[in-house]
Formats: sequence, C-alpha cells, structure tokens
Amino acid sequence: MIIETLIGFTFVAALLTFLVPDEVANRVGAALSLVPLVGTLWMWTQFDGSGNALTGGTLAFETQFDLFALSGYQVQWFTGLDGISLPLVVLTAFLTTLAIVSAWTPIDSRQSQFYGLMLFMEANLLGMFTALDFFVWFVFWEATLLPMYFLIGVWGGPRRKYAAIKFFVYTNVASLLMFVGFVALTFGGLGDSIDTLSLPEVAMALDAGGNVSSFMGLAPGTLKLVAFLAMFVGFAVKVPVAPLHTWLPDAHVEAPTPASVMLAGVLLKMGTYAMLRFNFTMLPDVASDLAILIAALGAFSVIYGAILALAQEDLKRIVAYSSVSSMGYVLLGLIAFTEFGVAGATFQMIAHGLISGLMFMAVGVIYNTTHTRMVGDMSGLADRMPVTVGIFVAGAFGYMGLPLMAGFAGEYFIFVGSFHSTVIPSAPLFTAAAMFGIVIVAGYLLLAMQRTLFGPFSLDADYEVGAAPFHDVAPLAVLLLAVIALGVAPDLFFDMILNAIAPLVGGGA
Amino acid sequence: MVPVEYYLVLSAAVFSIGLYGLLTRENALLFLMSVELMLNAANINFVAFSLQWGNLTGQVMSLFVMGLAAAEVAVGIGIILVLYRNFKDVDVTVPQSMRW
Amino acid sequence: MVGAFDYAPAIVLLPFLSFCLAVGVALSGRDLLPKGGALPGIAATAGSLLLSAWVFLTVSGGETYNETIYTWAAGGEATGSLSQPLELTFGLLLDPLSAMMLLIVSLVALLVHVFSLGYMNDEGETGLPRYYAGLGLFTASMLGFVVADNLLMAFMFFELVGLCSYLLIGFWFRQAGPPSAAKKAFLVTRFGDYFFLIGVVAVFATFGTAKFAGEGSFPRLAEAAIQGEATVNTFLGLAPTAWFTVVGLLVLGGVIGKSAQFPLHTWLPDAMEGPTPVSALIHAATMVAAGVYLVARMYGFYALSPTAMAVVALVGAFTALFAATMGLVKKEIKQVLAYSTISQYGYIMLGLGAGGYVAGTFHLLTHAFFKALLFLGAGSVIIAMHHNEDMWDMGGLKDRMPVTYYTFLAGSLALAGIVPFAGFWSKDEVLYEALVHGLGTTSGLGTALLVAYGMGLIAVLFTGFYTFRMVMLTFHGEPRTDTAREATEPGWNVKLPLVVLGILATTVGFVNMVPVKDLTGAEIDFLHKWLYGTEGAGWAETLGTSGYQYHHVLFADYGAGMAAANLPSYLVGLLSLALALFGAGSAYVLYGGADPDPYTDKLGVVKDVLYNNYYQDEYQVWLAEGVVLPLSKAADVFDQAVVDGVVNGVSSVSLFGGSRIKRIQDGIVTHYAAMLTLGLTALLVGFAIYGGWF
Repeated sequence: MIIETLIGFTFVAALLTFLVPDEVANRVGAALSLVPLVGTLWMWTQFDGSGNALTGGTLAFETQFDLFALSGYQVQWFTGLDGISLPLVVLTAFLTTLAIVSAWTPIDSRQSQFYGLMLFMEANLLGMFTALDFFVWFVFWEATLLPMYFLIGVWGGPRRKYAAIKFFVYTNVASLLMFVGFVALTFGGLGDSIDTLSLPEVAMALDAGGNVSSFMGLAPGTLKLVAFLAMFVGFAVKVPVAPLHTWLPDAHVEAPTPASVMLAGVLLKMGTYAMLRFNFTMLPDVASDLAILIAALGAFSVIYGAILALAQEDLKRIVAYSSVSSMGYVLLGLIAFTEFGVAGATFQMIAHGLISGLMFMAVGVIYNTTHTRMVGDMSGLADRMPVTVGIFVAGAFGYMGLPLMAGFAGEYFIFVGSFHSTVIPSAPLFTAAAMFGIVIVAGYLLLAMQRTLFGPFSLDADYEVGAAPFHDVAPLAVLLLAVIALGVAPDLFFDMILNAIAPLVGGGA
Repeated sequence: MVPVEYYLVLSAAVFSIGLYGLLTRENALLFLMSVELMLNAANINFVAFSLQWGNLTGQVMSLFVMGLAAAEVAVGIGIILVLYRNFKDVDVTVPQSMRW
Repeated sequence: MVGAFDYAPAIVLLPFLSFCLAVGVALSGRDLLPKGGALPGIAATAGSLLLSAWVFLTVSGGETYNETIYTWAAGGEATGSLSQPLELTFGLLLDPLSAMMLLIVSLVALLVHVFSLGYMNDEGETGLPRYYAGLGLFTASMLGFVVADNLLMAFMFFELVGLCSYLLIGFWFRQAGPPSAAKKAFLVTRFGDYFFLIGVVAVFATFGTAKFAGEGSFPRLAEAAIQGEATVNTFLGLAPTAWFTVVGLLVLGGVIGKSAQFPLHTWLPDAMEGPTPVSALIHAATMVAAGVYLVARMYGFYALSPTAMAVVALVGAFTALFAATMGLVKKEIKQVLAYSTISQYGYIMLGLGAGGYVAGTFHLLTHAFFKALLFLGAGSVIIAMHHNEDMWDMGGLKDRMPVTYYTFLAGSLALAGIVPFAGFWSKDEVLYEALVHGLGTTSGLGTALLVAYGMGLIAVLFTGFYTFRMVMLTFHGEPRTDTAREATEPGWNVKLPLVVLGILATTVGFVNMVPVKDLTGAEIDFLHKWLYGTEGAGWAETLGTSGYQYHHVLFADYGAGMAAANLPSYLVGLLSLALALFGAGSAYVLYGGADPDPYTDKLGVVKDVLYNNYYQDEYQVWLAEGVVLPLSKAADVFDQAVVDGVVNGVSSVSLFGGSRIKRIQDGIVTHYAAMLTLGLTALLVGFAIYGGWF
C-alpha cells in the first residue's frame, strides 16, 4: 500500500498547499514534497521486483483490487513497480522537490496555487508511472495535462495563452488518437479473450498471439498495424518526435522555469515510457516491421532537433530543441530491440530528465538575474556569477555526453544497443548517423556558452548582476551531483532496468 | 362528449399564437405572455388526453406546468426588471452584448 | 604483500584529490590556500611521480598488472555470435608502455605545476584555484587514460582530458580570444571523437570486450578471427579484415583529432591562447600524445590491417611535412612551437604506421621532454618579454637569460634532430623504420611507406630551419625592443623545470641508440628491450602487448604483411642528420646576424599561403559558419513556417470555422427563438420523411 499512500498523501498535500497563505507556500510545498521523495527513495532501497511488469515479472509493492465493471470489463486499482517504472518514479519525486525549491525566486504571485499545482502534478505522475490498469492509467495520464496547462497559462511569459492552449490541445488530440488505438485493439481485436483492462493481461493476451479478431472490416494484421500507428503517433507527440515537436519550444519558452523543469524532466518521459509499455511490449512484431521507419524517425529527430537548436537565439529554445534531439536517441534505442538498446533508452530517460532539468534550471537562474534569455543580449556572465556559470558549464558538458556523467552512459548504452540491432536494417549506419548529434550538440552549446558566459561582461539592460542566491544555486548543485553519480555508477539504475528489459527482447532478437 | 380533436386544434392554435408572438414581438413582457400561451397550449393537451384515456396523470402534470409557469414568470419578471434598469427599455433586441 | 600495483589507483586519485581541493577553494571564493592551490597540486603530482617510479621499477622487474577494478555497468546478454556479455569495466593495465608513459606524464605535470608558480602566481594572475583545479583534473584524467585497460575507459578519460583542455585554454575567459579558441579546440577534437566513439561502439558490438591486453582482449580476438580460430560479429556484410580496418580507421578519427593531425590540426595553434604552462603540459607533452599513445596501446589491432597502417603512416608523414612548412614563416614563438608539435606528432604517427612500434614510442618519449622544455622556455621568454610573443620584438636574449637560452638550445637541437640530442635518435629511428619497411614490403603498403618516408625526410630539412630561425630571432643578434633590452630571467621556479627538462632532452635519447648499436654491436637499445620483453615468456606472452607480438603480426600474411630490407641504420641516420644540419645552418646564416631581415617575407604568395596555414582554418570556419549555420537558420525557418505552419494551419481551420459559425449567436433573443422553431420544424420534417408519413 506504500504507493497508494504516497499518491494519496501527495493529493492531500496539493490541497493543503492550495490553502496556506502565499508567503509560506514555498516552504510548505517543499516540505510536503519531501514525503513522496523519501517514500520513493525508501522504495528504491527496498525494491525486490524482478522481470518486466507486463510479461509476468514479479512486481514490487503490488496492490490489486476490483473497482467497478465497465461494459463487460473489470476496472481494477492495480499498481506496482518494476525495474522500468521505479527509476521514473524516483526521478519524478526528486525533480518535483528540486523544482519547487527552484521556484522560490521566479514565482512571485499566487504562490500557494502554484505549489499546489506542482504537487497535484506530481501525484498524477506518480500514479501514471505506477498504474497497471489501463483505465486508471489513462485517468492519471490525462490529469497530468491539467496542472501543466495552468502552470504555463497563469505563470508563463507574454505568449503564455497561445503556448498553453497549443500544448493542451496538441497533446490532448494525441491522447485521443492513442485512446482510440488502444480501444480498437482491446475491445475490437481482443474482444472477450480478456476480462480486464490491466496492462499485463492485455500484453500477455497479445503475446499469446493469434487471438486478435478482425474488427470493423480490418483484418487482424491490419488492425494491429492501425492500433500501433495510432498509439505511436499519440505518444510521439508527447515525446516529442520530430516533426510532431512544435508545441515543445513554445511551451518551454513561455513556461516558468520550474514548470519547464517538470515538462522536460518528467512529462516528456511519459511518451517514451508509454511507447515502451504499449507499442514495444504489446506489439513488438508490428514494431519490427516498421523498424526502419521508426529508426529513421529517431535519427531524424536527433539531427533535426540539434540543427534547429543551432539556429536559436533564446537559451531556453536551445535547450528545448536539444530535448527533441536527446529524445530521438531514446526512440532509436527502443526500436533496436536489444537489451542495451531498450535498457539504454530507459536509462537515457532518467539521464535526460536530470540533465535537461539542470539546464532549464540554470537558464532560469541566469534569467532571474539578467531578465533576459537572448544570447545576443549578454556576455561575460562568468565574471559576475561564477558558481552558476560553473554549474551551467558542467551541465552543458553533461548534455554533450561527457563521460562519467549520466548523459554519456545513456547515449553509450543506446549506441551499443542499436549498433548490433538485428531488427533495424543496416543498423550501424543508422547508429552512426544518429551519433553525429554528439558533434552538433557540442557545437550549439559551446557557441551559446562562448557568447553568453565568456568574453568581456556586458548586458543590454540596467540590472545589477551579482552572484545568484544560495537557494537558487543549491538545487542546481544537487542535480549536478546526481548527474555525476549516475554517470560514475549507472548500475544504480541500469542493473534493474536491464533486468526488466531482458524478457522483452528475448535473447537479443 | 367533445371529441379530442377539437381540443387539439384549439391547443395547436393557442401554441401557434404564442409562437407567432415569440417570433415577432420585441417587447420582453409580450415574450413572457407568449411563452405563457405556449405552456397553456401544452396544458390543454394534457387535460384533453387525460379526459380521453381516463387517466389523471395528465391533469396532475398540468398542475405541475402551472407551477412551473408561475416560477418562470417570477424569474422572467425579475430578468425584465433588471433589463429595464440597465437599458431603460424592455426591448429584447437592444441588449446584444451576450453574443460571440 | 602490498606492492606498487596496490597503490597504482592512487596515481590517478592523488591529482583528482588536489582537483577537489582546488574546486572547494574556488567555490569558497576566499584565499584559503597559500599559492592559490598550487601546493596541493605539486604534492599530488609529486606523489604520483613517486608511485609511477615505483610502478616503473616493479614493471622492470618483469611484473605486470592487468586487472579489472570496477564494473561500470552491468553487461546484459551476449550479443550475436558472441558467448560472453559485454564488459563495461574500468581496470588498470600496467605494462612497460603504460609504466613509461606514467613516468612521462607525472614528471611533466609536476614540472609544469612548479613552473606555474613562476608563470601564474608570480605574475599576479587571479582565479588561480580554478587554474590549479584544471591542472589537477587534467593530470588525473591523463593518468587515468594512460593506465586504462580497455578502450571504453580510455575513451572516457580521453574525453575528460578534452574537457580540461577546454577549461584551461579558456582560462582567461574575460577576453574574447581564449573562449573562442577553447570552443574550437573542443569542437574539432569532438569531430574526431565522433568517429572514435563509433569505433568504441563497434569494438564492443564486434568483440563484446574492449580490453587491450591479455587473454580474450580484442586485438587477440581479432587476430584469431582473421585466422578463423574465433568467431566475432562483423557488420555491413564485411569480411573480418575489412571490418577491422573500418573499425581501426574509425578509432583513428579520435587520434587525428586529439593528436592534431591533418585535417583536424587547426585547433592546436589556436589553443596557444591558453597559459603557456598549459600549452607545455597539455598541448605538447601529454594530451596531444594521448592520440598516438592510443595507437601504440592497441597496436596489435592496427598491425592486422595493411590499409590502416598505410593510412596512419601517410597521415603522419603528410602532417609532419605540412605543419613544418607552416612553421617556417610564423612570427610568434608559441606559434612556431605549435606547428612543430603538430609536425612531430606526425613523425610519431609515421613511425607507428611504418611498423616501428619502438621507434614511434621512442619519439613520443623524447618529444614529450624536449617539447615541454621548449614551451616552458618560451614561457620564460614570455615572462621576460611581458607577454609579448612576437619574435621580431625579441633578439639578444641569450646574454640576459642564460639558463633559459642554454636549455632552450638543448631542446632546439633535440627538435631539429642534431646528434647527440634526444630527438636525433628517435626521429632517425622513425625514418629508418619507414625506409626499411617501405623497401622491403612489396604490396601497396610498401609504396605508401616509401612516399611517407620521402615526406618525412623533407620535413627534417624544414624542421632544422624553423627551429633555428626561432632560436636566432629570439636569443641572438641585437635586442630589437626596449623590453628585450631590459629582459631579466625569472626565478628558481622557472629555472628548475627548465634545467631538469634540459638534462632530459639532452640525454634521454641514449636509452635507444640503435645506430651506435649497429656500429659497435654493444647491446644498448634499452628501450627496445624494455618494450619487447622476453619472447614467449612473462608479460610478453600473457599480455600480448610486447614488441615481439606486434612484430609477429606485422610480418604475418594475415596481418599487415610487412617485410624489412637490410640497410645499415647509421647510413640512413647520416642522411637525415645532414639534412637537419643543412636546415639549421641555413637558418643560422640567414638570421644569425645582429639585425636579421625577415627573409621569409620575400617568398611572396608562398609566404601568404603558409602564413595563413594553407587557408585550412578558413575552409573549416566556412564549413561551420558558411554552411552549417545558414543551414540551421534555413531549417529553423522551415520548422517555423512549414512544420509548425501545418500545426497552426490545422488549428486555424477550426478557429476560422468557429469565427464564422459563432455569428449565429448574435445576441437577439428573437433569432434564437426562430432558430429553435426552425430546428424543431426541420426535426419534425426529418422524422416525417424518415418515418414514411408522407
């Protein structure tokens, strides 16, 4: 019941934070968010699951009971953790706490509502990563959009309304598509061969093979293909995979820093997590048929996102586009269908969550001080805020995949995995093409750093620029340490991820 | 006994008058009256069919409709008063701010 | 019993500790440590040097060490036709090659730390904790790279030294130049590392392991696979030999980047924007050596492929010649040294590619000392000249700073390859190996080696010339500026490293005097014996990293297929010595006067081309700024207009539709009523038609 307790507590905490006065909301929110953080860390130490949740592995902290019947299917409360979801749960709790702390300076109005929404989002994310019944999962999945919509729409920049609506509508339409795909597959294709919508049951029914019936004139094979595509596109928007990415830069640029941290750090991972759980676990045969397309999309995302980042003048847009690029690696790893590919992709979700969170926070700290994010407006910041710049540089090198930082581990695992993939035709060439991203990422980050951080100091505005306050820098430092820890010892997570991935790829397929 | 068709013709006529009033008049009070007419047309139908089938449900229903009509008048007059206070008129085409 | 090997990890960890200490001081923002953190750095590198010496002595006793000490990540399943899971581990490989390199790196690092007291502290620089943190992290990473027992670990530390190089080149970040040079250095080497990383990934996918030495190491697996005695994965439908060539060339990408070989050499001259001790440590003696060290480290793998060997030799020889010509016309002392560094690493590559494992390693050793010496000497001159680096503003310094002059002269003689200084012995051996293997081998590789030898030989002439042009302009003649007239020699902390390195640059060549051995028959080729070990016994057998093994593979049919012609080494040596003397002599004649003319200006268009580095920078900058940036801007426009345009277009359809249809809602209640009525009527008519009432 620990998972339920944590989720329930976080909802209550969100409500409580809504009610406290604005002046103390930050401290209350941060204190309350420590509880789920400590809880998830405790679960990490006590984790005893093995295998994959969807293929009959042993779940940790499992709870399962019936809720109600829905048109012949039993809806259950079914939660549990395996080696894939646990790291994401830890990431969620960790980043939420840090994001709340980092919100101290930038959020100066309606604080109690802001922190309440952050906690509300955390509760939904925890639910989303732990739920194993489709119905419950989908409720959490959709409910994460709401707080983010308000976070962007209320506390955002000048074009916040446009960005918030674009974010909400785009991802919601995608969710609809995914929903239709899943429903067509289960209600239409599996019909009576399942009696609940629990994800393991669906996955195992599909894995048994041959029991997908035709639906609305679609042959079983076509139905699976259509369902796969619908779900893939639905999740791809969330990831986002180029060319479905355009909501992301707008949302990031307008969102307040803590919301950006959550958006890049956790919300993007929802897409790849769901892709792994649905597309690649439930319909691996369809995925292998489409491997060349998906691998090409992944490589395209990497290069395209990186090239776009090169053209940006806004620090936040640079980091936003580089997220598109980094998430392309994840897609490439997933489609490789090798242990290292898929596990590396999962690891990269965590690594990118931490590093992009770090970068957005660092940009936020610079913005707090200089009130601009445009590369051309400032230079030589290292002179005035050395510690922040130091961490910024370290984070940027993390983003470039510097060894002994988490990003390198994730990327390296993915490259090894996809290089010897037998699912992707000419896998080495695809891998090599995607790997060119590591050169471009160095290009745009180094260029941006040279222009903003180094050289003689100047700023196109009349602001006193001094060192950032401690409570701004502390979360950065904590994140940086986490990034280095995961880079030096990726086995903190990688071991359990591998264990959960192994049943999926079955002997290096 | 008067055949039910007569009642229905009467009811249709009253309803049409009410509808006509609703579509052509611009005075809110006349609107209210027209609506009353339409409700009463419905009442006539209820009573007529109640008589036809010897079932009291229709009559009870008509009592409900009267109650509803009274409530509606109360709310309606209230709205009209506010309308008058704001626009110095009870012409329904004047207040147009509640559009797209 | 606790031996040297148990303490070997401390060689790496000591400088890392000094890094942590310096970072702590830098973060505190206060002056917590005397000398800005130099002392912990000196202590740490001295400790590393002592431990390295201990390791060196232990290795010379015939013991070696090749153990995994840390599992970086779980290995997962076996891939393809392999039987074992991937080995993602860190370990130490301490054999004669790495033991020798440990000594070089820790010694130069120590001397540079001491020199920095004079160059940085005494000059009143600020931000010293940051400087010493960079030096400490660099030393740790470089030592980690040297002791790495597998390619993955090597790659990781390879990247980390790149980071340190970036941080230290950009040390004076408040100016415009250094950050730009730092960016260029990292980016250009990153481009090479891109290929290197593909190579590392390919090695893992092919062999499942990246261990350098011992049973089951990838060079051995590759050798067995070519002979059909082991199965490995190959990709893209290539046969083992062809695939190994591809992998070898991919790794070579990193080598070319880091060791500043053509065409990725452009970053190194710019890197001279950094402090001079950094240039000495990183951009001459150690980090740049990482590239060629890597080739030596996995020599057993390269030796399998004649194509890869030919490429290594040709790239090296071409770079040696190419960079030497550019060094002829430079005005700034550090620029001359930068191009000579590129050129000398070309020689090392040539030596390795020509099958001269010992020769290449030997030149690596001697070059580390004499080039560190030359840079530190230049640093001393720069201190005296108040940071003016233009040689035309110097002159006549030899009387004012004798210690610097004589040590610098020793380094220059070594660089030019004049007997008996260190560079002569090693460069001569490199050229000798290229010639005999070129003459002996009949395949295309032989031709390639002969071409490479030719280029290397011409470069000797140029090397002698530019070296002594530099010496003459700097130290001889009359002082040409007031600064030069009033120059004084810096303190002990500058002189001590110079003297130590000066002695080494003079004498270190004696460890491998092959021509003397051939003449006299005395067994004095110590380095040769050091790297060869005992055939078929001891570490040479277990590790497979000895010269015997490489020689065996190089000359085997399945390997590079080399053969050696029979030539006396002293004759070849005399030829190159004559050329070097001619080059040096002409420089002496031209620039030896009291007030020399800028003769190279008379070369006209040739001088322009050389001075502008054959416009290599221009085309690379053009690639970056003229092609990639506009491309990205175009992609951005495309993204905003087309990709996002479609998204906004879809939403604008509903927005437009809504804006039209909402006009029904016009606020006039009568219209709503009419609409209701019409709707009801339409519904009734619809039902009527559908229900068949008409």
